[in-house]
Amino acid sequence: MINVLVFICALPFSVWLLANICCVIDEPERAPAALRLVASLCVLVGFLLLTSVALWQPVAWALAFVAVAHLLAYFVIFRPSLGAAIYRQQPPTTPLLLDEAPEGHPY
Amino acid sequence: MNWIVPLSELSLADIDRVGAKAAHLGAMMRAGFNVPQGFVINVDAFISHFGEVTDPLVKPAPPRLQAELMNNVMQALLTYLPDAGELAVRSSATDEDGQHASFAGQHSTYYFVTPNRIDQAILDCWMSLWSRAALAYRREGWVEISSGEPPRMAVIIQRMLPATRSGVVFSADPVIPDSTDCVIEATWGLGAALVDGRVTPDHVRINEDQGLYSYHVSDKRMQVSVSAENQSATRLQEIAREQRNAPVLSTFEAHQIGNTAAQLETLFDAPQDVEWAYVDDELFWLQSRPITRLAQEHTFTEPLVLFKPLAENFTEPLTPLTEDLMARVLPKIGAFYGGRLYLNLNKLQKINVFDLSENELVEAALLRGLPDRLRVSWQKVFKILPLLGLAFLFDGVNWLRTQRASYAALARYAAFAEKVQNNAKLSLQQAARQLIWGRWPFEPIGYRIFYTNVSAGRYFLYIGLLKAFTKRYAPAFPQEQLSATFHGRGDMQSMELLKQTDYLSGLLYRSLEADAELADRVAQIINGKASELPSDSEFALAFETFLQNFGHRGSKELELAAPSWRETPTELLKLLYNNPPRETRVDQIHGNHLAARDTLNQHLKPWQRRITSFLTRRICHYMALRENTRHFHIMGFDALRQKVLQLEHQLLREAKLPVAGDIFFLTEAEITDLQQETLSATEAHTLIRKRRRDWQRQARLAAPLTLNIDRPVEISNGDLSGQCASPGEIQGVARVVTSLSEAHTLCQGEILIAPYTDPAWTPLFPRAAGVIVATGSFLSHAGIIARELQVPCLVDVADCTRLIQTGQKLHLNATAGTITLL
Repeated sequence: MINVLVFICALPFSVWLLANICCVIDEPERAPAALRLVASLCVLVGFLLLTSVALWQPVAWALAFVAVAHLLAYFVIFRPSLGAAIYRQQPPTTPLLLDEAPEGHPY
Repeated sequence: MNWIVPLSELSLADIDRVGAKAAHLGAMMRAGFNVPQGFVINVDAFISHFGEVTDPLVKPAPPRLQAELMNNVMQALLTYLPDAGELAVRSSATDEDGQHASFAGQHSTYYFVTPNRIDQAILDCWMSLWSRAALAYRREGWVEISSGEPPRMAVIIQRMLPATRSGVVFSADPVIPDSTDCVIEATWGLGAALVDGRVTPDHVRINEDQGLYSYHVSDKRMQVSVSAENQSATRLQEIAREQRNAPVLSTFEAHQIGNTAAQLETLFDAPQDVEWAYVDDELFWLQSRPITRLAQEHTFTEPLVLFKPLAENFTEPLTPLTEDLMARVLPKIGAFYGGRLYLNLNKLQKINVFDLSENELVEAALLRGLPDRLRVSWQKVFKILPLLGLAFLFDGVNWLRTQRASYAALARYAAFAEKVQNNAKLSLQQAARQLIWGRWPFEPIGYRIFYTNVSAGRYFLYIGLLKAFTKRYAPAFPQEQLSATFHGRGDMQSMELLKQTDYLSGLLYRSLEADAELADRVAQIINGKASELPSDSEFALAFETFLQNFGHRGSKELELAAPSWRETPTELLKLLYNNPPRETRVDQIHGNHLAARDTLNQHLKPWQRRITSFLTRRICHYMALRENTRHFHIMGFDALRQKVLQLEHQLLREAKLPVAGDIFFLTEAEITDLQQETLSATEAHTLIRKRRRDWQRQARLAAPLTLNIDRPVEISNGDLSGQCASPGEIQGVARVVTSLSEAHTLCQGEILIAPYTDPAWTPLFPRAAGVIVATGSFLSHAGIIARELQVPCLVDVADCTRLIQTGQKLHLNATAGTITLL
């Protein structure tokens, strides 16, 4: 039960933490350092998930959940939801002079 | 038998004998209108060659022309057209141009016919009774609404006019319902280019009460020439640069055409659609028939509201290719109609958490503001709260990232856009999706520029909070001063653009005084006689640097068919040339902002100041973010345009497209079909032609604000009012500027009246004492720049470019949202 509570409480924290890490990636001059940080974090999360450090495991699950949720949101929810409708007018029953199809063939 | 009748002997009573077109021409000639001389081969000749047509769906074999007919024709040529060189051979079917006009326009007319080939032209005219278009019409059942008589065709033979200018005139506007304005469309050369839709003609409106009140000069790139040197198959040729943007008609000529169209309306007792042509200064009338009002009907039932942030950038509809690509990368809450982007109200309702009536929601969607007493619907909140929570978990990272996105982070987009542009493996749709939404969620936020732009719109909510907070805790502080507290940061790209154009125009004016060669060259470029600046001048270097930074911008941004400043530097040069140096007010403006903040602070306690300070910081950040991301996402559209131009170049080289610019009137699927030859060049040409005409017509219509929504129709009753985008009060003289080509007419201290504004209009703002825009909202570009410069600005003033005229004195009270004509 405590694990579930920690997991739920860790969710917003995970969003905030990931956002801060990404903010570092966003800045061009700090991106290489940030990438190393991300790699280390992934190793740490992986380690925590694979071992039984009970206190930290829900936090690691929360981080993993948020990361996967963002991937899912982009590829499974957001991208398929694209596609605005295009509605057309009814064509007029008769054309204007300007619409005369083959009018004015040079001979 | 004599099958020949001279035009001068015909009247409307002869329709059954010579067809409606010839009968109308005869009636015009008898009434004294200047119609080119000619004669008609009546329908008896047709019957003699084809017999009565019993099954109009079966195309007969072409008959041999009878010697008697040719004798008649040769005799008529000697009698009625003795000096004619080339001839026009025109169809005149009995079921066109009249009340049952279902076949109008389906038959052929031939120009530049020499007398030795007249027999073939007559036969071709007759055979066009079974043209593909006419057969398709019959198969679709249109025959049921025609007169029911078997089709017959007469042939008109007239002198070929060496028209230097031509066009059509509508004695009443066929596009705008209930309008009685006379509308003239005019172009250089023969009218065939107009019919083709390749030329956007000059558009003139004449009103009984106001006389000629609008003359919109278009950029006319092509003409169908009558010159003997141009004997190509289409006779289509480019127009000399200096003539492209010149008006085709003088005011006198426009009135002459308008008055004659009114006389024709009286003669035929119905509004008329008339073709005219000038040979030098002599006006001729080529055809007249009753106007058919264009249907504005649709079959869909979804309630739609105009999406203002796009509509306020330019009033014209999107071209079919832009519409096609945007539709596939925008969310389903959007919908396109008539080339304009709308929001689906049903889908909007699902994410609305406030207790709003449908009308209030429409007003909010039109960015006209929320009701004073905003009620949160707790029922909806409880329903939507779990969804908001999930949205935070599924997208909160990106949302939070935009809070800290710096300019350097956004600037990474330039390299990303170039990479996508050069990736030949990406289709247009894939490139559009990557340029707008990025490739995956954790890549740098600078690559997801459109997302950042949309999310930056949240500053509107912070403004709402600031307003509510100051109303509650600083009631004595004048609310109209509030916007001055959160402006003046000056780190927006739009302001940078303004500073740079000011610097460049200053440098240009100094250089023109000092360097006669440069002055001469600039004059030549502006008049279309040269294209490049002397490369060694200081101004040319600065101009080049400017293009590197802002070359992707220009007018009609977000429209793929619109060229950027990099592609048309002459337009930018004209803008600079017409923007004389002026006193800068930046320091004074910054001082005003600080003073407004101090005044507000005096009304607040320390803890309240901290809150307002937090809110104003957020507003400033997101406003700058919105303008700066826009600077970059337009770069994405430019990259996409370059990809389209590469495709177009290939299709032009393979002769699958005849003219540059046609590609924007096809969809991506059609372009692929054309490349793979599953769509023929002829079929593509037919599609393009029709879409060009549809697009031109849509461009003349104001976009309906709502569709399928039961709300009071907004009728302009002459009251001029709008939405305040930048507060202030000013009295001055109006200057109506309908397009950037007229930008130079705006003088310092005048009130600018515009149909819309986009960043290319920015240099006009400091010159204006006030700004009035027909479309737009508080969030629009006009509002942001006007607030930064503290110029009173009123937006969403329907029909202002028509109701206000240049030179009129007016009092603009932007704070109250009113305009008074003095």
